[in-house]
Amino acid sequence: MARSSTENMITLMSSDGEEFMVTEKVARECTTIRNMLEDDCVITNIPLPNVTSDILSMVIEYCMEHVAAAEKAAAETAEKGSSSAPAAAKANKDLEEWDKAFMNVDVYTLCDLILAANYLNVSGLLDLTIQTAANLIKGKSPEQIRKTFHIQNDLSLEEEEKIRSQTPWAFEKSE
Amino acid sequence: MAESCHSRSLSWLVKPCIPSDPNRHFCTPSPLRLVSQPTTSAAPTPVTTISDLPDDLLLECLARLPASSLPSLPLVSRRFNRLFIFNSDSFAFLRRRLGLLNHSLIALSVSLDLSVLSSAILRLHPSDFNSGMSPDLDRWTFPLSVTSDNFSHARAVSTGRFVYLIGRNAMLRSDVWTRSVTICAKPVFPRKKFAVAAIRDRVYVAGGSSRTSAVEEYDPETDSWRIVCDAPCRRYGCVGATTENGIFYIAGGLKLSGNQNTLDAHTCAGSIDAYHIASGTWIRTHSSSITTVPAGGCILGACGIGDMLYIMASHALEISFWRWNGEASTLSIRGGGTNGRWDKLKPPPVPGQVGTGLRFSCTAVGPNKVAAVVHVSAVRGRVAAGAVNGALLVYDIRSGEWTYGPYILPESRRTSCVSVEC
Repeated sequence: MARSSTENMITLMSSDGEEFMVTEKVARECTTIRNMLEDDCVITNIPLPNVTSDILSMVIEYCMEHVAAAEKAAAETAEKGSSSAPAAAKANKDLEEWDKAFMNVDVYTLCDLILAANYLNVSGLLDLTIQTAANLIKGKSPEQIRKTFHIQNDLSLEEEEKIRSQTPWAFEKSE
Repeated sequence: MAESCHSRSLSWLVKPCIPSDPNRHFCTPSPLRLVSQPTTSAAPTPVTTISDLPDDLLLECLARLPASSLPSLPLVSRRFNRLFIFNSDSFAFLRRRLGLLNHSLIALSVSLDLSVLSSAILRLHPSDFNSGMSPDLDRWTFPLSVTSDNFSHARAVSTGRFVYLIGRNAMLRSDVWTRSVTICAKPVFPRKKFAVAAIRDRVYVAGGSSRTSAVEEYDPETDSWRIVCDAPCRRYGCVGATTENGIFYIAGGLKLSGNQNTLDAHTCAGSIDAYHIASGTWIRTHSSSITTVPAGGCILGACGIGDMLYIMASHALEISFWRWNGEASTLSIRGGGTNGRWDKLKPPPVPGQVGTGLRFSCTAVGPNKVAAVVHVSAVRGRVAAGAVNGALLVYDIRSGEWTYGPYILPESRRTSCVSVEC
Protein backbone atom coordinates (compact mmCIF):
# COMPACT_ATOMS: atom_id res chain seq x y z
CA MET A 1 0.00 0.00 0.00
CA ALA A 2 2.38 2.65 -1.19
CA ARG A 3 1.02 6.09 -0.79
CA SER A 4 1.46 8.46 -3.67
CA SER A 5 3.96 11.13 -2.81
CA THR A 6 1.59 13.76 -4.11
CA GLU A 7 -0.92 13.00 -1.37
CA ASN A 8 -1.38 15.99 0.87
CA MET A 9 -0.22 15.64 4.41
CA ILE A 10 -1.94 17.56 7.17
CA THR A 11 -0.54 18.29 10.57
CA LEU A 12 -2.96 18.00 13.46
CA MET A 13 -1.89 19.48 16.72
CA SER A 14 -3.27 18.25 20.03
CA SER A 15 -4.04 20.46 23.02
CA ASP A 16 -0.76 19.47 24.67
CA GLY A 17 1.23 20.54 21.65
CA GLU A 18 1.99 17.23 19.98
CA GLU A 19 1.84 17.11 16.24
CA PHE A 20 0.46 14.30 14.13
CA MET A 21 0.99 14.09 10.41
CA VAL A 22 -1.79 12.35 8.58
CA THR A 23 -2.87 12.06 4.99
CA GLU A 24 -5.59 14.40 3.90
CA LYS A 25 -7.81 11.39 3.32
CA VAL A 26 -7.56 10.33 6.96
CA ALA A 27 -8.06 13.89 8.18
CA ARG A 28 -11.18 14.17 6.05
CA GLU A 29 -12.79 11.41 8.08
CA CYS A 30 -13.32 14.15 10.65
CA THR A 31 -16.17 16.25 9.30
CA THR A 32 -14.95 19.23 11.29
CA ILE A 33 -11.56 19.09 9.53
CA ARG A 34 -13.14 18.34 6.18
CA ASN A 35 -15.18 21.51 6.47
CA MET A 36 -12.06 23.47 7.35
CA LEU A 37 -10.23 22.04 4.34
CA GLU A 38 -13.11 22.84 2.07
CA ASP A 39 -13.25 26.40 3.30
CA ASP A 40 -9.53 26.90 2.91
CA CYS A 41 -7.67 24.34 0.84
CA VAL A 42 -4.14 25.55 1.62
CA ILE A 43 -4.43 24.85 5.29
CA THR A 44 -1.87 22.25 6.43
CA ASN A 45 -1.59 22.79 10.14
CA ILE A 46 -4.69 22.43 12.28
CA PRO A 47 -4.60 23.06 16.02
CA LEU A 48 -7.17 21.02 17.93
CA PRO A 49 -7.31 22.70 21.33
CA ASN A 50 -10.04 20.34 22.65
CA VAL A 51 -8.24 17.04 22.08
CA THR A 52 -5.27 15.67 24.00
CA SER A 53 -2.50 13.75 22.22
CA ASP A 54 -3.54 10.41 23.75
CA ILE A 55 -7.07 10.78 22.49
CA LEU A 56 -6.11 12.33 19.17
CA SER A 57 -3.80 9.40 18.42
CA MET A 58 -6.72 7.05 19.06
CA VAL A 59 -9.06 9.05 16.84
CA ILE A 60 -6.43 8.98 14.09
CA GLU A 61 -5.96 5.25 14.60
CA TYR A 62 -9.69 4.77 14.15
CA CYS A 63 -9.84 6.95 11.04
CA MET A 64 -6.82 5.22 9.48
CA GLU A 65 -8.29 1.78 10.04
CA HIS A 66 -11.59 2.81 8.52
CA VAL A 67 -9.98 4.55 5.55
CA ALA A 68 -7.78 1.50 4.95
CA ALA A 69 -10.81 -0.80 5.09
CA ALA A 70 -12.73 1.38 2.64
CA GLU A 71 -9.71 1.53 0.30
CA LYS A 72 -9.28 -2.22 0.44
CA ALA A 73 -12.92 -2.77 -0.40
CA ALA A 74 -12.73 -0.28 -3.26
CA ALA A 75 -9.58 -1.93 -4.62
CA GLU A 76 -11.18 -5.38 -4.53
CA THR A 77 -14.24 -4.08 -6.32
CA ALA A 78 -12.06 -2.51 -9.01
CA GLU A 79 -10.03 -5.71 -9.43
CA LYS A 80 -12.89 -8.15 -9.79
CA GLY A 81 -15.29 -5.79 -11.47
CA SER A 82 -17.83 -6.43 -8.77
CA SER A 83 -17.54 -6.95 -5.08
CA SER A 84 -18.17 -10.48 -3.89
CA ALA A 85 -20.74 -10.53 -1.15
CA PRO A 86 -18.98 -13.02 1.18
CA ALA A 87 -15.72 -11.09 0.99
CA ALA A 88 -17.49 -7.85 1.75
CA ALA A 89 -19.30 -9.46 4.66
CA LYS A 90 -16.03 -10.79 6.01
CA ALA A 91 -14.38 -7.39 5.66
CA ASN A 92 -17.30 -5.83 7.52
CA LYS A 93 -17.05 -8.42 10.23
CA ASP A 94 -13.30 -7.86 10.55
CA LEU A 95 -13.87 -4.14 10.89
CA GLU A 96 -16.54 -4.75 13.51
CA GLU A 97 -14.14 -6.98 15.41
CA TRP A 98 -11.51 -4.29 15.16
CA ASP A 99 -14.00 -1.69 16.47
CA LYS A 100 -14.87 -3.97 19.34
CA ALA A 101 -11.22 -4.44 20.30
CA PHE A 102 -10.65 -0.72 19.87
CA MET A 103 -13.41 -0.03 22.41
CA ASN A 104 -11.60 -2.02 25.08
CA VAL A 105 -10.77 1.14 27.03
CA ASP A 106 -11.55 2.48 30.48
CA VAL A 107 -14.58 4.71 30.98
CA TYR A 108 -12.51 7.89 31.25
CA THR A 109 -10.94 7.28 27.87
CA LEU A 110 -14.34 6.32 26.50
CA CYS A 111 -15.86 9.63 27.62
CA ASP A 112 -12.86 11.51 26.22
CA LEU A 113 -13.35 9.70 22.94
CA ILE A 114 -17.05 10.59 22.86
CA LEU A 115 -16.19 14.26 23.34
CA ALA A 116 -13.42 14.11 20.72
CA ALA A 117 -15.59 12.25 18.20
CA ASN A 118 -18.31 14.81 18.75
CA TYR A 119 -15.92 17.76 18.42
CA LEU A 120 -14.18 16.38 15.35
CA ASN A 121 -17.51 15.07 14.08
CA VAL A 122 -16.41 11.53 13.24
CA SER A 123 -19.88 10.03 12.96
CA GLY A 124 -18.78 6.39 12.94
CA LEU A 125 -16.65 6.81 16.05
CA LEU A 126 -19.32 8.84 17.83
CA ASP A 127 -21.85 6.12 17.15
CA LEU A 128 -19.44 3.42 18.30
CA THR A 129 -18.44 5.17 21.52
CA ILE A 130 -21.97 6.18 22.48
CA GLN A 131 -23.23 2.67 21.86
CA THR A 132 -20.36 1.32 23.97
CA ALA A 133 -21.29 3.66 26.82
CA ALA A 134 -24.95 2.63 26.49
CA ASN A 135 -23.92 -1.04 26.65
CA LEU A 136 -22.14 -0.29 29.91
CA ILE A 137 -25.33 1.18 31.41
CA LYS A 138 -27.63 -1.54 30.08
CA GLY A 139 -29.14 -3.83 32.69
CA LYS A 140 -27.42 -2.18 35.64
CA SER A 141 -28.90 -0.95 38.91
CA PRO A 142 -28.51 2.75 39.78
CA GLU A 143 -25.67 1.86 42.18
CA GLN A 144 -23.88 -0.17 39.53
CA ILE A 145 -24.23 2.64 36.99
CA ARG A 146 -22.76 5.11 39.48
CA LYS A 147 -19.88 2.78 40.22
CA THR A 148 -19.15 2.07 36.55
CA PHE A 149 -19.01 5.72 35.59
CA HIS A 150 -17.74 7.14 38.88
CA ILE A 151 -20.81 9.31 39.30
CA GLN A 152 -21.45 11.06 42.59
CA ASN A 153 -24.90 10.40 44.01
CA ASP A 154 -26.11 13.91 44.67
CA LEU A 155 -29.76 13.02 45.25
CA SER A 156 -30.94 14.02 48.68
CA LEU A 157 -32.49 11.35 50.88
CA GLU A 158 -35.94 12.83 50.34
CA GLU A 159 -35.51 12.92 46.58
CA GLU A 160 -34.31 9.34 46.53
CA GLU A 161 -37.13 8.24 48.80
CA LYS A 162 -39.67 9.93 46.55
CA ILE A 163 -38.38 8.26 43.41
CA ARG A 164 -38.19 4.89 45.16
CA SER A 165 -41.75 5.18 46.41
CA GLN A 166 -42.94 5.76 42.85
CA THR A 167 -41.13 2.70 41.52
CA PRO A 168 -41.13 0.16 44.35
CA TRP A 169 -41.11 -2.83 42.01
CA ALA A 170 -37.79 -1.70 40.56
CA PHE A 171 -35.99 -2.76 43.72
CA GLU A 172 -37.41 -6.19 44.02
CA LYS A 173 -35.11 -8.91 42.92
CA SER A 174 -35.92 -9.92 39.40
CA GLU A 175 -36.32 -13.61 38.96
CA MET B 1 -1.26 33.89 39.42
CA ALA B 2 -3.53 35.28 36.79
CA GLU B 3 -0.54 36.40 34.80
CA SER B 4 1.10 33.00 34.77
CA CYS B 5 -2.10 31.38 33.55
CA HIS B 6 -2.30 33.94 30.85
CA SER B 7 1.24 33.42 29.67
CA ARG B 8 0.77 29.67 29.55
CA SER B 9 -2.29 29.86 27.40
CA LEU B 10 -0.53 32.41 25.22
CA SER B 11 2.47 30.17 24.64
CA TRP B 12 0.04 27.46 23.76
CA LEU B 13 -1.62 29.66 21.18
CA VAL B 14 1.70 30.70 19.70
CA LYS B 15 2.96 27.16 19.34
CA PRO B 16 1.40 26.42 15.94
CA CYS B 17 3.50 29.26 14.52
CA ILE B 18 6.78 27.80 15.74
CA PRO B 19 8.74 26.16 12.89
CA SER B 20 8.24 22.47 12.62
CA ASP B 21 9.59 20.36 15.40
CA PRO B 22 12.07 17.69 14.22
CA ASN B 23 10.55 15.23 16.70
CA ARG B 24 7.03 15.49 15.49
CA HIS B 25 5.07 12.37 14.88
CA PHE B 26 4.30 10.84 11.57
CA CYS B 27 1.38 8.52 11.38
CA THR B 28 2.26 5.51 9.28
CA PRO B 29 -0.32 3.39 7.51
CA SER B 30 0.15 0.62 10.06
CA PRO B 31 -1.23 2.38 13.10
CA LEU B 32 1.41 2.85 15.72
CA ARG B 33 0.39 3.88 19.17
CA LEU B 34 2.43 6.96 19.74
CA VAL B 35 4.27 7.19 22.98
CA SER B 36 3.42 10.60 24.23
CA GLN B 37 6.31 12.60 25.50
CA PRO B 38 6.03 13.82 29.04
CA THR B 39 4.71 17.29 28.76
CA THR B 40 6.57 20.05 30.47
CA SER B 41 3.55 21.36 32.31
CA ALA B 42 3.04 18.35 34.56
CA ALA B 43 -0.27 19.50 36.03
CA PRO B 44 -2.46 16.40 36.35
CA THR B 45 -5.14 16.61 33.71
CA PRO B 46 -8.58 16.12 35.24
CA VAL B 47 -10.20 12.88 34.11
CA THR B 48 -13.29 12.95 31.96
CA THR B 49 -16.33 11.12 33.24
CA ILE B 50 -19.79 10.68 31.86
CA SER B 51 -20.75 13.74 33.93
CA ASP B 52 -18.57 15.85 31.65
CA LEU B 53 -20.59 14.96 28.58
CA PRO B 54 -22.96 17.70 27.47
CA ASP B 55 -26.68 16.98 27.83
CA ASP B 56 -27.22 16.14 24.18
CA LEU B 57 -24.50 13.47 24.13
CA LEU B 58 -25.61 11.93 27.40
CA LEU B 59 -29.20 11.89 26.19
CA GLU B 60 -28.08 10.28 22.95
CA CYS B 61 -26.42 7.58 25.01
CA LEU B 62 -29.39 7.01 27.33
CA ALA B 63 -31.77 6.90 24.37
CA ARG B 64 -30.09 3.71 23.16
CA LEU B 65 -30.94 1.72 26.24
CA PRO B 66 -33.54 -1.01 26.08
CA ALA B 67 -36.85 -0.13 27.76
CA SER B 68 -36.05 -2.43 30.68
CA SER B 69 -33.00 -0.34 31.62
CA LEU B 70 -34.82 3.00 31.76
CA PRO B 71 -36.36 2.71 35.26
CA SER B 72 -32.88 2.73 36.87
CA LEU B 73 -31.95 6.07 35.40
CA PRO B 74 -33.74 8.61 37.65
CA LEU B 75 -32.00 7.17 40.71
CA VAL B 76 -28.47 7.53 39.40
CA SER B 77 -28.05 11.23 40.10
CA ARG B 78 -29.88 14.51 40.00
CA ARG B 79 -28.64 15.15 36.51
CA PHE B 80 -29.84 11.80 35.19
CA ASN B 81 -33.18 12.37 36.86
CA ARG B 82 -33.57 15.85 35.45
CA LEU B 83 -32.36 14.91 31.97
CA PHE B 84 -34.62 11.98 31.75
CA ILE B 85 -37.71 13.64 33.16
CA PHE B 86 -37.50 17.00 31.43
CA ASN B 87 -36.41 15.97 27.97
CA SER B 88 -39.32 13.73 27.07
CA ASP B 89 -39.65 15.11 23.58
CA SER B 90 -36.02 14.91 22.53
CA PHE B 91 -35.67 11.55 24.23
CA ALA B 92 -38.69 10.23 22.36
CA PHE B 93 -37.36 11.70 19.13
CA LEU B 94 -33.99 9.95 19.53
CA ARG B 95 -35.59 6.63 20.42
CA ARG B 96 -38.00 6.85 17.51
CA ARG B 97 -35.07 7.50 15.17
CA LEU B 98 -33.26 4.46 16.56
CA GLY B 99 -36.37 2.34 16.04
CA LEU B 100 -36.74 1.78 19.78
CA LEU B 101 -40.25 3.18 20.01
CA ASN B 102 -43.24 1.18 18.88
CA HIS B 103 -46.90 1.93 18.98
CA SER B 104 -47.99 -0.28 21.81
CA LEU B 105 -51.12 -1.01 23.69
CA ILE B 106 -51.09 -0.59 27.44
CA ALA B 107 -53.80 -2.12 29.56
CA LEU B 108 -54.43 -0.96 33.12
CA SER B 109 -56.57 -2.39 35.82
CA VAL B 110 -56.95 -1.69 39.52
CA SER B 111 -57.79 -4.71 41.66
CA LEU B 112 -61.13 -4.75 43.43
CA ASP B 113 -59.54 -4.26 46.85
CA LEU B 114 -57.65 -1.25 45.42
CA SER B 115 -54.31 -2.71 46.47
CA VAL B 116 -52.68 -3.28 43.12
CA LEU B 117 -52.50 -1.54 39.77
CA SER B 118 -51.75 -4.07 37.06
CA SER B 119 -50.26 -2.93 33.79
CA ALA B 120 -49.34 -4.76 30.65
CA ILE B 121 -47.80 -3.54 27.46
CA LEU B 122 -48.45 -5.32 24.22
CA ARG B 123 -46.23 -4.32 21.35
CA LEU B 124 -48.30 -4.66 18.23
CA HIS B 125 -45.74 -5.78 15.70
CA PRO B 126 -47.80 -6.13 12.56
CA SER B 127 -46.03 -9.31 11.45
CA ASP B 128 -46.05 -11.54 14.50
CA PHE B 129 -49.38 -10.32 15.77
CA ASN B 130 -51.17 -11.61 12.70
CA SER B 131 -49.17 -14.80 12.39
CA GLY B 132 -50.43 -15.96 15.79
CA MET B 133 -46.98 -16.00 17.35
CA SER B 134 -46.76 -15.56 21.07
CA PRO B 135 -47.19 -11.87 21.71
CA ASP B 136 -44.51 -9.65 23.12
CA LEU B 137 -46.16 -9.00 26.47
CA ASP B 138 -44.64 -7.09 29.30
CA ARG B 139 -46.55 -7.11 32.60
CA TRP B 140 -45.92 -5.43 35.91
CA THR B 141 -47.87 -4.52 39.00
CA PHE B 142 -47.75 -1.60 41.35
CA PRO B 143 -48.87 -1.70 44.98
CA LEU B 144 -51.34 1.10 45.59
CA SER B 145 -52.13 3.02 48.70
CA VAL B 146 -55.37 4.60 47.49
CA THR B 147 -58.27 4.08 49.77
CA SER B 148 -61.98 4.56 49.41
CA ASP B 149 -62.15 5.06 45.70
CA ASN B 150 -63.80 3.35 42.88
CA PHE B 151 -61.84 2.42 39.80
CA SER B 152 -64.49 0.05 38.55
CA HIS B 153 -65.42 2.33 35.69
CA ALA B 154 -62.08 4.06 35.36
CA ARG B 155 -61.08 5.63 32.07
CA ALA B 156 -57.55 5.69 30.72
CA VAL B 157 -55.90 8.26 28.48
CA SER B 158 -52.32 8.86 27.42
CA THR B 159 -50.18 11.86 26.57
CA GLY B 160 -46.66 11.02 25.46
CA ARG B 161 -44.99 8.81 28.05
CA PHE B 162 -47.74 9.24 30.63
CA VAL B 163 -50.87 7.20 31.05
CA TYR B 164 -53.63 8.55 33.28
CA LEU B 165 -56.16 6.29 34.90
CA ILE B 166 -59.09 8.32 36.17
CA GLY B 167 -61.44 6.78 38.69
CA ARG B 168 -64.49 8.22 40.37
CA ASN B 169 -62.52 10.12 42.93
CA ALA B 170 -58.85 9.73 42.12
CA MET B 171 -56.39 9.89 39.30
CA LEU B 172 -53.22 7.86 38.87
CA ARG B 173 -50.44 8.69 36.48
CA SER B 174 -48.19 5.97 35.20
CA ASP B 175 -44.95 6.72 33.41
CA VAL B 176 -44.38 4.00 30.82
CA TRP B 177 -40.64 4.67 30.69
CA THR B 178 -39.76 4.56 34.36
CA ARG B 179 -42.89 2.54 35.22
CA SER B 180 -43.42 4.80 38.16
CA VAL B 181 -46.89 5.61 39.41
CA THR B 182 -47.92 8.87 41.04
CA ILE B 183 -51.21 9.99 42.47
CA CYS B 184 -52.42 13.17 40.82
CA ALA B 185 -55.10 15.72 41.46
CA LYS B 186 -58.60 14.38 40.81
CA PRO B 187 -61.25 16.10 38.70
CA VAL B 188 -63.38 18.70 40.46
CA PHE B 189 -66.55 16.59 40.09
CA PRO B 190 -66.64 12.88 40.79
CA ARG B 191 -67.46 11.07 37.56
CA LYS B 192 -68.31 7.57 36.49
CA LYS B 193 -68.69 6.27 32.93
CA PHE B 194 -67.50 9.57 31.51
CA ALA B 195 -65.76 10.75 28.35
CA VAL B 196 -62.02 11.42 28.35
CA ALA B 197 -59.51 12.57 25.76
CA ALA B 198 -56.01 14.01 25.69
CA ILE B 199 -55.43 16.99 23.44
CA ARG B 200 -52.10 18.80 23.23
CA ASP B 201 -50.72 17.26 26.42
CA ARG B 202 -53.79 18.12 28.45
CA VAL B 203 -56.52 15.81 29.62
CA TYR B 204 -60.23 16.60 29.20
CA VAL B 205 -63.17 14.95 30.88
CA ALA B 206 -66.91 15.41 30.36
CA GLY B 207 -70.11 13.70 31.40
CA GLY B 208 -70.57 10.88 33.86
CA SER B 209 -72.13 13.00 36.55
CA SER B 210 -75.74 13.83 37.33
CA ARG B 211 -74.69 16.99 39.13
CA THR B 212 -72.80 18.86 36.46
CA SER B 213 -72.39 19.35 32.75
CA ALA B 214 -68.93 20.88 33.23
CA VAL B 215 -66.09 19.95 30.93
CA GLU B 216 -62.83 19.88 32.87
CA GLU B 217 -59.23 20.30 31.78
CA TYR B 218 -56.17 18.90 33.52
CA ASP B 219 -52.83 20.64 33.23
CA PRO B 220 -50.00 18.20 34.06
CA GLU B 221 -47.56 21.03 34.68
CA THR B 222 -49.49 22.43 37.58
CA ASP B 223 -51.23 19.16 38.48
CA SER B 224 -54.57 20.92 38.60
CA TRP B 225 -58.03 20.70 37.07
CA ARG B 226 -60.16 23.60 35.93
CA ILE B 227 -63.62 23.87 34.47
CA VAL B 228 -63.49 24.85 30.81
CA CYS B 229 -67.14 25.14 29.83
CA ASP B 230 -70.53 23.51 30.12
CA ALA B 231 -71.55 20.73 27.77
CA PRO B 232 -74.82 21.04 25.85
CA CYS B 233 -76.15 18.09 27.80
CA ARG B 234 -75.30 15.94 30.79
CA ARG B 235 -74.35 12.55 29.45
CA TYR B 236 -73.95 9.48 31.58
CA GLY B 237 -72.25 6.38 30.22
CA CYS B 238 -70.68 8.28 27.36
CA VAL B 239 -67.31 7.68 25.71
CA GLY B 240 -64.68 10.21 24.65
CA ALA B 241 -62.42 10.46 21.63
CA THR B 242 -60.30 13.00 19.84
CA THR B 243 -59.15 13.53 16.29
CA GLU B 244 -56.14 15.30 14.83
CA ASN B 245 -58.00 18.59 14.50
CA GLY B 246 -58.12 18.98 18.28
CA ILE B 247 -61.80 18.21 18.79
CA PHE B 248 -63.07 16.50 21.93
CA TYR B 249 -65.95 14.19 21.00
CA ILE B 250 -68.38 13.14 23.70
CA ALA B 251 -70.39 10.28 22.32
CA GLY B 252 -73.49 8.37 23.35
CA GLY B 253 -74.71 7.66 26.83
CA LEU B 254 -77.90 8.75 28.49
CA LYS B 255 -78.99 12.34 28.56
CA LEU B 256 -79.83 13.41 32.06
CA SER B 257 -82.11 16.33 32.76
CA GLY B 258 -83.79 17.85 35.77
CA ASN B 259 -82.32 18.06 39.22
CA GLN B 260 -81.01 15.25 41.35
CA ASN B 261 -84.38 14.50 42.92
CA THR B 262 -86.36 14.26 39.74
CA LEU B 263 -83.76 12.99 37.35
CA ASP B 264 -84.95 12.04 33.90
CA ALA B 265 -82.88 9.94 31.60
CA HIS B 266 -83.34 10.12 27.86
CA THR B 267 -81.40 8.04 25.47
CA CYS B 268 -78.93 9.98 23.40
CA ALA B 269 -79.63 7.67 20.50
CA GLY B 270 -76.07 7.69 19.32
CA SER B 271 -75.65 11.45 19.20
CA ILE B 272 -72.20 12.99 19.51
CA ASP B 273 -71.19 16.36 20.94
CA ALA B 274 -68.04 18.00 19.65
CA TYR B 275 -65.98 20.66 21.39
CA HIS B 276 -63.15 22.41 19.61
CA ILE B 277 -60.55 22.96 22.31
CA ALA B 278 -58.42 25.65 20.65
CA SER B 279 -61.33 27.96 19.81
CA GLY B 280 -63.45 26.96 22.80
CA THR B 281 -66.56 26.34 20.71
CA TRP B 282 -69.17 23.62 20.55
CA ILE B 283 -69.75 22.52 17.00
CA ARG B 284 -73.46 22.25 16.39
CA THR B 285 -75.74 21.36 13.56
CA HIS B 286 -79.52 21.80 13.70
CA SER B 287 -79.42 19.99 17.05
CA SER B 288 -77.02 20.60 19.89
CA SER B 289 -74.81 17.72 18.78
CA ILE B 290 -72.59 17.54 15.74
CA THR B 291 -73.84 14.25 14.34
CA THR B 292 -75.63 11.03 15.16
CA VAL B 293 -74.61 7.50 14.36
CA PRO B 294 -76.76 6.26 11.44
CA ALA B 295 -79.68 4.23 12.71
CA GLY B 296 -79.00 5.44 16.24
CA GLY B 297 -78.25 2.81 18.80
CA CYS B 298 -76.17 2.84 21.89
CA ILE B 299 -72.52 3.90 21.56
CA LEU B 300 -70.21 1.33 23.13
CA GLY B 301 -66.77 2.67 22.31
CA ALA B 302 -65.02 5.36 20.27
CA CYS B 303 -61.57 6.48 19.20
CA GLY B 304 -60.05 8.83 16.66
CA ILE B 305 -57.31 8.27 14.10
CA GLY B 306 -56.23 11.21 11.98
CA ASP B 307 -59.42 13.01 10.95
CA MET B 308 -61.54 9.91 11.36
CA LEU B 309 -63.73 8.97 14.27
CA TYR B 310 -64.34 5.24 14.82
CA ILE B 311 -67.47 4.30 16.70
CA MET B 312 -68.87 1.01 17.95
CA ALA B 313 -72.61 0.99 18.46
CA SER B 314 -75.21 -1.58 19.26
CA HIS B 315 -78.83 -2.24 18.37
CA ALA B 316 -80.19 -4.77 20.77
CA LEU B 317 -77.93 -7.77 20.13
CA GLU B 318 -76.20 -6.54 17.00
CA ILE B 319 -72.94 -4.61 17.12
CA SER B 320 -71.98 -2.25 14.33
CA PHE B 321 -68.75 -0.45 13.62
CA TRP B 322 -68.70 2.96 11.96
CA ARG B 323 -66.28 5.53 10.67
CA TRP B 324 -67.12 9.18 10.56
CA ASN B 325 -65.09 11.61 8.51
CA GLY B 326 -64.50 14.40 10.99
CA GLU B 327 -62.97 16.69 8.40
CA ALA B 328 -66.40 18.22 8.18
CA SER B 329 -66.09 19.43 11.75
CA THR B 330 -62.94 21.33 10.83
CA LEU B 331 -64.89 23.01 8.06
CA SER B 332 -67.73 23.87 10.36
CA ILE B 333 -65.35 25.64 12.75
CA ARG B 334 -64.62 27.95 9.84
CA GLY B 335 -68.33 28.41 9.26
CA GLY B 336 -68.99 25.74 6.66
CA GLY B 337 -71.61 23.04 6.85
CA THR B 338 -71.23 19.81 8.72
CA ASN B 339 -72.05 17.03 6.38
CA GLY B 340 -69.57 14.48 7.61
CA ARG B 341 -69.86 11.10 5.97
CA TRP B 342 -70.56 7.84 7.80
CA ASP B 343 -69.10 4.56 6.51
CA LYS B 344 -70.23 1.22 7.81
CA LEU B 345 -67.27 -1.08 8.53
CA LYS B 346 -66.97 -4.75 9.33
CA PRO B 347 -68.35 -5.32 12.83
CA PRO B 348 -66.11 -6.79 15.53
CA PRO B 349 -66.46 -10.56 15.96
CA VAL B 350 -67.36 -10.45 19.64
CA PRO B 351 -66.99 -13.91 21.10
CA GLY B 352 -69.78 -15.38 23.16
CA GLN B 353 -73.23 -14.03 23.64
CA VAL B 354 -73.71 -10.33 23.18
CA GLY B 355 -75.57 -8.94 26.09
CA THR B 356 -76.69 -5.46 27.02
CA GLY B 357 -73.86 -4.96 29.49
CA LEU B 358 -71.25 -4.86 26.77
CA ARG B 359 -68.78 -2.00 26.38
CA PHE B 360 -65.45 -1.52 24.63
CA SER B 361 -62.40 0.34 25.76
CA CYS B 362 -61.27 1.56 22.35
CA THR B 363 -58.00 3.16 21.37
CA ALA B 364 -56.10 3.95 18.21
CA VAL B 365 -52.73 2.18 18.10
CA GLY B 366 -50.48 3.88 15.59
CA PRO B 367 -51.86 5.20 12.33
CA ASN B 368 -53.74 2.12 11.20
CA LYS B 369 -55.06 0.04 14.07
CA VAL B 370 -58.03 0.25 16.37
CA ALA B 371 -57.77 -1.85 19.51
CA ALA B 372 -60.78 -2.66 21.63
CA VAL B 373 -60.90 -4.48 24.95
CA VAL B 374 -64.29 -6.01 25.68
CA HIS B 375 -65.96 -5.23 28.99
CA VAL B 376 -68.93 -7.19 30.12
CA SER B 377 -70.74 -5.92 33.14
CA ALA B 378 -73.37 -7.86 34.98
CA VAL B 379 -76.92 -6.87 34.09
CA ARG B 380 -79.27 -7.44 37.01
CA GLY B 381 -76.64 -9.60 38.65
CA ARG B 382 -76.22 -11.81 35.59
CA VAL B 383 -73.22 -11.77 33.31
CA ALA B 384 -73.94 -12.71 29.73
CA ALA B 385 -72.86 -16.24 28.89
CA GLY B 386 -69.52 -16.78 27.19
CA ALA B 387 -66.52 -15.37 28.97
CA VAL B 388 -65.46 -12.57 26.69
CA ASN B 389 -64.54 -10.10 29.38
CA GLY B 390 -61.08 -8.68 28.76
CA ALA B 391 -60.84 -10.06 25.22
CA LEU B 392 -58.79 -7.93 22.89
CA LEU B 393 -59.86 -7.25 19.34
CA VAL B 394 -57.71 -5.41 16.84
CA TYR B 395 -58.98 -3.84 13.63
CA ASP B 396 -56.55 -3.16 10.82
CA ILE B 397 -57.71 -0.14 8.86
CA ARG B 398 -55.85 -1.06 5.69
CA SER B 399 -57.14 -4.59 5.41
CA GLY B 400 -60.48 -3.88 7.06
CA GLU B 401 -60.15 -7.07 9.11
CA TRP B 402 -60.45 -7.86 12.80
CA THR B 403 -57.99 -10.10 14.63
CA TYR B 404 -58.16 -11.59 18.10
CA GLY B 405 -55.43 -10.52 20.42
CA PRO B 406 -54.30 -12.20 23.61
CA TYR B 407 -55.98 -11.58 26.94
CA ILE B 408 -53.50 -9.01 28.09
CA LEU B 409 -54.59 -8.87 31.72
CA PRO B 410 -56.38 -12.18 32.06
CA GLU B 411 -56.85 -12.00 35.81
CA SER B 412 -58.29 -8.49 35.79
CA ARG B 413 -61.76 -7.24 35.14
CA ARG B 414 -62.61 -3.89 33.67
CA THR B 415 -59.35 -3.34 31.92
CA SER B 416 -58.86 0.07 30.33
CA CYS B 417 -56.56 0.31 27.39
CA VAL B 418 -54.74 3.14 25.69
CA SER B 419 -52.02 3.46 23.14
CA VAL B 420 -48.50 4.57 24.04
CA GLU B 421 -45.21 4.77 22.22
CA CYS B 422 -42.62 2.83 24.15
